[in-house]
Amino acid sequence: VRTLRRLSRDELSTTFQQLIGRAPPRDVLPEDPRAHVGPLEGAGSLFVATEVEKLRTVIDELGRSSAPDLLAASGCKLSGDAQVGCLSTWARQLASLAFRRPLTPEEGARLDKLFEGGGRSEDDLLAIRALVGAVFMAPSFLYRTELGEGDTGRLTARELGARLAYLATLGPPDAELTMAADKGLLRDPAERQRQLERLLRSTAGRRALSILVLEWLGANESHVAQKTPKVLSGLGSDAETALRASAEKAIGAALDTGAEPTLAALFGTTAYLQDAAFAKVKAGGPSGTGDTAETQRAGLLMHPLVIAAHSKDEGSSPFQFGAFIREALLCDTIPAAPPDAAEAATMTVVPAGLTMREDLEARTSGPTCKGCHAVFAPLGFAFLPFDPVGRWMRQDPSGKPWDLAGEVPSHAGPPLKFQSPSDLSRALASHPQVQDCFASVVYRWAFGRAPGAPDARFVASLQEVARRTQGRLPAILDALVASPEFLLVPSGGE
Amino acid sequence: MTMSRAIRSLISRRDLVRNTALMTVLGPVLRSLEARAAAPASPRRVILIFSPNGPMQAAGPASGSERAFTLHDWWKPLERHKADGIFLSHMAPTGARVVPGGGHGLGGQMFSGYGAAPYLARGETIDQVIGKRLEAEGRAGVRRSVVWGTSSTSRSGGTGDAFYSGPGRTISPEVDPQRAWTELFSRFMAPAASGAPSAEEMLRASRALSRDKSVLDFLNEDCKALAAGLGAEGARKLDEHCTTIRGFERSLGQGSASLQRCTRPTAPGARDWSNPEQIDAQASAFIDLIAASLACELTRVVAFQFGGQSARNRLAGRYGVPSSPRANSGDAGPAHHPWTHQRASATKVAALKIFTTFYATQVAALVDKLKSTSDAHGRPLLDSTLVVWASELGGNAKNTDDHQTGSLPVVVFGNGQGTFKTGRYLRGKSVEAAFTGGDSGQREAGRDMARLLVSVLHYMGLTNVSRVGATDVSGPLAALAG
Repeated sequence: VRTLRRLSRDELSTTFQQLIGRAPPRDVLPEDPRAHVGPLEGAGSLFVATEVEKLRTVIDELGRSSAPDLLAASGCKLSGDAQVGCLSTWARQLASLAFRRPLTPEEGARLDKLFEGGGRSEDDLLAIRALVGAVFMAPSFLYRTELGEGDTGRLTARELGARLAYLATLGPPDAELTMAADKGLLRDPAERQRQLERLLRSTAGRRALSILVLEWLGANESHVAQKTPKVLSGLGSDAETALRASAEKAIGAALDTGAEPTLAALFGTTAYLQDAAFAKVKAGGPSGTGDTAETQRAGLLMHPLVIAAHSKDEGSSPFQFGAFIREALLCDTIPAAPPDAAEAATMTVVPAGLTMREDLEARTSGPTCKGCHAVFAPLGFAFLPFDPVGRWMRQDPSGKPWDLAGEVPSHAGPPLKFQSPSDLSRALASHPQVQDCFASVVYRWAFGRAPGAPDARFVASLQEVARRTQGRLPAILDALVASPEFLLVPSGGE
Repeated sequence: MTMSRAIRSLISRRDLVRNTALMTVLGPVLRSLEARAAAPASPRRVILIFSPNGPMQAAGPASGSERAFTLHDWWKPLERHKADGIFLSHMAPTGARVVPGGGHGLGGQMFSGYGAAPYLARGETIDQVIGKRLEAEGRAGVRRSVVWGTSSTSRSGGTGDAFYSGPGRTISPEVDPQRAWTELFSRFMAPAASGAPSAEEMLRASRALSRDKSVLDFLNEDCKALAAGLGAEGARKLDEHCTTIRGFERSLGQGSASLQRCTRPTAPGARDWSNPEQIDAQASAFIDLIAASLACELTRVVAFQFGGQSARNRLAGRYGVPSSPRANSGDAGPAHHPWTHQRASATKVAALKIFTTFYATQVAALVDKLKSTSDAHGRPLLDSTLVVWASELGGNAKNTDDHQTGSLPVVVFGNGQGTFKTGRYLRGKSVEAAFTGGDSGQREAGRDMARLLVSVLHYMGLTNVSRVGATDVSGPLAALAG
């Protein structure tokens, strides 16, 4: 069922906002289906019963709260049958935008029934509330369809427009894109690139790219607020919102850096260092924290929002952070820990006075753990001094200096060698395996699924662009939308 | 034709009964008619409860002989319901070591019988199985099932929660009582006090019904059209979505004879429900919602969790949970999970006792509520409601293993309309010191847990189901019947 793609929370929010001018709070929408790491994979994933029921409640409330504004926005200020006719026409237009296709005559007739007996303000508000329920609960809205034109294997013009629009803006096609689709212009790669560039310049386009980056970094959901009161002490009640805004701003600045490759800009940005939200983190909170000259903070990996996404509620989480880098940024898979691993680590007797790193390495030096830990743990140890919200801890509890250096193998390119987190960030920014991974992440973002064997050649072509441009996101997206594969219905098995 | 006759010609009596708005005004008349009919047996209901982590340092919940037993100190809040429960010790997660998984990861298969991969169950839990069957047979309420809880592990970026809709698809429970109330009760209309409806009221009600039906017609037709374009496999996958939409028709009339004894609970209100200081109010609100949703026949299947696998639960300050040092799991603080990663100590015992006793206290309060709330037939809810409370990890006083999946405590409340014999203690087959590595006793205990779930399925009318998930045993747990 790859031909169905459920709208994500962000896509739902964006679409509601664009079509009716308001959206429910993001966290009341059904949670997105996620792969273990990396961006959303909504292709072939359907809403289950509990999610449909939750949507019903949310959309019912949306209809109730938006009906007065929608009635005003409809421009229908008549009465009786004339008013009913006006509202019916407007309702059909709204449904067509929501469904990303023209309505069938039968669908139009069914919508008309909502307005029967109307014409008075009170009735019209109730009818519009019902309309919101009908349109936004409809599977034709909740799923983007990519069924194609007959047996050609190619998307219809409208499906192509929707694919392009949701890739670029997380929202439905606007009037210009729809017109281009209806004229058949989107068959032309250059036109698709032109439309993409136009949409990416919009506010929605810029926000969509921020969300893509945050999804890649595993930081698009709320994590800061989950930390313990002790950890959150001094950050203020709006820490999550403020740090999110700070990260988005930094991403926006990085993406705007035309001269610098995207990956280098993302992993080297210092745009957030002057933010008020970050200043609270930089200043430190609980005793013994606060940035020092040793911190050399730069890049999104050292941004509090990203660190919070890969740390426990309290205390450092080097294994979690290292696994994140290995799996999300290098696109490698780490096998699940054996069932007895935690017990073995706990029971290992270690000498007193060790640093945190020495202690953890001693506990995982046995044959059960050592093999896998060697490829990801050093990546996390580089970030060991950060607390769960990204404060720099000035020294190891043992009193010894931090040992943040490491080296891990890669299967594409040289081993990653580093002395510090900023050093590691720089190494990742220019590493071929990260560039390859970034290209496959963009593929997954665009198509809502992991690439399968039939997609290998196409993904390789995107990786070639990523390597050639040192990970420039616009270049990868350009190549993706201009490709013949962008025209096709989802292919076979993975 | 008079207005009244004209309106009545538009809507059938069935529609009248189903429609919320009409029930508001016609409820008293219809109820008095329905009350004359002989009252059938109460519908069967089930509540599945999962508590995370586990007692670890205590073997519970009881010890002694089948009839002469004492509750372990940590489970004492259940003392007043001793006659209504079956207390099982030394159980194991469903199919432990029969299907892969270990430690916290087995929490996801507690109610499913599928393996964990490594933390997400490979199949649906029985609340979903039962809900779908009831719905298919027209026996579900407005909602085939609800999944609620006091915290969600998956929502906070952790591993899976306790209940699953399919392979690897954990269901994030609703943890906000106000939202849960809104989902079930915001459309719920209390029966009108008295008096016949006016013509104006009937006209408005008939329009509301007509509009609601038009919306559902639109959605159902959209489902059909979309499914037709997807082929057989696609249509099959879309079926759950479309079936749920079809089920909305029932909620057009959250009204039936049952409303006679059903009152809408007070809205819990908006609060920061994630604040541990609200945990008592949050649990209490959910207990009220569970009882009301069962009494009002809005659902017959409730899945409830006090957190998902390895939940980092916190309680209000007054409980005095000691703060855990940083554990090898990386977390710390006055929370449940980090204590499961600490070596045995008096402080660890004290911390784990607080959590287990808290869960037992809440379960006891739920049973109180089920006893004191009558269903549509005037009988206490507990008469027809089976409560199954299982914990993620087991334990014993000498435990040196942090993630033991043997010695699991399970408590069942309710005699299931005479199906089960309560007031008993049953010792399971896992041995006192069964660690994650497992042994034959633990395997057998896991099989008994699978049989227990089959007993639940049979109680709920799924008598043709003989095994759960991927387990290798079939049939119910005969010992429950005495």
